[in-house]
Amino acid sequence: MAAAAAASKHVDLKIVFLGASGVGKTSLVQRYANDTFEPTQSTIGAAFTLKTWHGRRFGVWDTAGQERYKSLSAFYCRGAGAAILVYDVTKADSLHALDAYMDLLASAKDGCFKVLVGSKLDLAPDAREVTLDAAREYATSIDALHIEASAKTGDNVMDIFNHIGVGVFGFDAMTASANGSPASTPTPTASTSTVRLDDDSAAKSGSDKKKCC
Amino acid sequence: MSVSKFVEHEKSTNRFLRELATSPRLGDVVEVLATDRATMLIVPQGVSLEPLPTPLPVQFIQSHVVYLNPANPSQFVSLNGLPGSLNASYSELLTFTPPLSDPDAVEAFATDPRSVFAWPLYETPLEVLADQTEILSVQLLRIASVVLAGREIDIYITAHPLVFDGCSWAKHVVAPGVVAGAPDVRTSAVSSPRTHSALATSVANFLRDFRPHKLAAAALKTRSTPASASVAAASPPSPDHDPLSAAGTESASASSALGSSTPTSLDFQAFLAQLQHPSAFEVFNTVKAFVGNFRRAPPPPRLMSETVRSFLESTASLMVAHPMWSETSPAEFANAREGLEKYVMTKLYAKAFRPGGDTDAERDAALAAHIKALATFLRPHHLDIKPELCNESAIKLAANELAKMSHYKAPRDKLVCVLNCCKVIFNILAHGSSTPAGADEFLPLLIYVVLRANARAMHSNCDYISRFRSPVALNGESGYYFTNLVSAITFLENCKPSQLNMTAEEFDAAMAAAPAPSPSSAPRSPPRRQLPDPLSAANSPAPDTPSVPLVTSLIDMGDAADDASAHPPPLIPSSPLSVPWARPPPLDLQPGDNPPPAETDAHPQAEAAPSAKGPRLRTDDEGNIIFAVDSPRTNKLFDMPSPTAGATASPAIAPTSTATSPSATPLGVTSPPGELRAALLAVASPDELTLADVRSLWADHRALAAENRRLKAALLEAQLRAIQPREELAPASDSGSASS
Repeated sequence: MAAAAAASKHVDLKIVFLGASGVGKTSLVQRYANDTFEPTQSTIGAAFTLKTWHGRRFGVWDTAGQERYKSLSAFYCRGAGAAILVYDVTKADSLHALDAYMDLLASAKDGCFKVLVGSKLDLAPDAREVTLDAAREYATSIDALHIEASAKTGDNVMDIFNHIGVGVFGFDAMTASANGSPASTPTPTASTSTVRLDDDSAAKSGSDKKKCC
Repeated sequence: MSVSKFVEHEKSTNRFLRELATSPRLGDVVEVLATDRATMLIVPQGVSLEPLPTPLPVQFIQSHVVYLNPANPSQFVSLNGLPGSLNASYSELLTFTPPLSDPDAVEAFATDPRSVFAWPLYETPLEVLADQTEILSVQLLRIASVVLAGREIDIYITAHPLVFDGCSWAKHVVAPGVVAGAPDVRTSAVSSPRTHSALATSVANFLRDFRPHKLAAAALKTRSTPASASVAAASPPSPDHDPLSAAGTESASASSALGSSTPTSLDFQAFLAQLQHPSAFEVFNTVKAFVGNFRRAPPPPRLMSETVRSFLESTASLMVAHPMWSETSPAEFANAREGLEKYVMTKLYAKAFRPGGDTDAERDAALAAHIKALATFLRPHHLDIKPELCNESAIKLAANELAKMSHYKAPRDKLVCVLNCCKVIFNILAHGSSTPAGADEFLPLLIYVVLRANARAMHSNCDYISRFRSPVALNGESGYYFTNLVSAITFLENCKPSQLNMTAEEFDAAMAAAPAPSPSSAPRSPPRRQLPDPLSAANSPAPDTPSVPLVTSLIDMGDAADDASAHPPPLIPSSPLSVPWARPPPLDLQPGDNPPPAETDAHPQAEAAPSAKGPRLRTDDEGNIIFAVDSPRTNKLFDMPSPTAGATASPAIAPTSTATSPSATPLGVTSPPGELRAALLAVASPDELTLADVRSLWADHRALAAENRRLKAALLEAQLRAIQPREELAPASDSGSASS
């Protein structure tokens, strides 16, 4: 029992999902949580997801996107190492609506790794309103990586987190898996007892040099 | 003799109480009482004790100290395994004999006394039970409280001692009083008196005092009390919670399953076993010294968190290097770290909770008053909560879980209450929609639950958690849900009309109307909309709020509520919400009031509800029982040294123990039984969902008491071995062990 306690507490990277309600944040989280062989380890509900990525533990924080709760997002951003800003490729105004979140990210970690994600890629052929160029330009302006993805088809969803993992922990962290598909690379860490020491030794193939403490 | 005089008389003269307070041999019993919040004393009135031998038999003591059922505070089991319950009208204590027959049950009881509450016995309606076993009852005279070992302990004052088959004092119980609990009992009790010779006199008295009308009423009512919750759930739901009970029950059981997989299980006992081991003496000594210093001279509030954290870190390093822990697995060591946090914070609670004293208490009161006003008119649709999610009974369950926060001292335990609350909410969401719910759906519902719970000391509890809970934990799942709670509170505290789907006029009118019906005082100016609004500030291009640390920003925002009068609007929709399940009926808490929470011992006046002073009488809704409310300021008889203060306590520590008694305000207040029962009826056994958790926590508490004693022995031994003498850390009965 204590093992479970230890395992569930330690998080290497806090990732916060931001974006208006309706752009598909929750769907993306869900897709990420369930679209792999490794079960998610959240015990309470779907709003928080804990996943292991090459021995690193990602805690994914969903936020309420309604306008009235937007300012509360600052609480959620506190200490975040990465932020996923979601807009809807089929809604032109959803991109610049993200401006409001940039200020809230001030409470995130310095150098918080940002990814701009265009959701609902599956609808893009018929209903695209945000062009790739416009999105890329915006991404550059906020110093973010840009990806388009679909929670429905699963396209690029894993890539979002791979990019984050690489962006934060470096390429070395990933070399354990040749094909880069995290779905097929269950963590070598014993899922029951993950503690710092374990984590490092488990991820040794990739990044022994990762300094800890 | 007036009611309060009777209680005071008992408190000052009762032999049982006096023995508990003074006899060294009862130190561990007192320690159980002092450390385990959900215990009570059954105190037979003084005259009934006269025939009993002196000192009282140990078995007598054991039979009259009871653990309460976390899921139903009217049920109990004594230290020696005698199961019992209050009757439906709270006028009698019923005990079921024989206590323990099944060997498995005996075994389980020895391991975890509260496991007995899972027995069918406790879920069987009394009239059914009466056919199977013998039910004895003793009249309940008063519910009151005494201060023992520095802690306020609730007591049932009964007309006579409890008796059971084979107990040595049954022959002394000569006065009338032992009667059966339900009409059917009459048959069984009468038919078997010869086999229970020790009870022969009792049975005779039973026949004499039998009052069928009252007992029949009690038996009838029992059917719908949570004592038989599982039975009730299986049968057609009562009108009270008709449309919702099914879903509520379902989510309860679903949560129960989840509860067992809680990531936060902690084997506190294992840690204590390690800490108390003589070889870990240096670690223990370090902890002891820190706790002593902290309590003598608490650091300024803003430094407390830092101080505690760095101590915990350094102690953890010490432990890593210590032979006791150096060989343990990472998981075991993580457990030890958790245990250390819990141990230290439990010891420091009086100083570390509400370090700002009255200021903190006022902040809590202001928030509670504001939420109370909001609760008079805010409905789910104001928060865009879908109608299918408005499962009121489940929302109450969640609110109850949240309200339990105040019953625990360890930050981790408080956080578990938050998580349990969130689990219930996700169950509601799972029932209400086909797709998995995310934060968009979760947060509004949590806000609504916080509104309905209006739990005590929300600010202080949140501050305490964020200050003292391990940062590692706060970065993970529990941190996520804690952040949601803080957000919900912040939202409620600062919400603007537009955020509630209202116009400013509607909002102002509603807020103005909210406190008005208060009979005893003029309506207070409710709205505080002219106050700084951190939310809008955060929305604006140059927000300060987001970058402010959590605690600080909460504190700042707290000021916003200052002018919210402490006078609460009476209109709070339903009283059950703040009924504390984890505590027994005679709580110092009235739903809707803002009473001094248990943890405000050090500053009890601050939150005192004005109406709760002095002695009072109450009747339940049948009007057939009167509950006394002691005047808490007077006659706190058993002001023993606090278990934490110790025999060698320095004067600086003394206030800790004294603060709980002479200066305490309305602590002895009992809860209105009618309202409590309403709550019991309205919510089908709310604690089912977390019983596993609750049990494990209580096991922890109990372990603490037992381990403390062993620790002391080890310490003494070590001190005798010429180690420099130091003060005791945790001596509930120091005088006893020191002199022995």
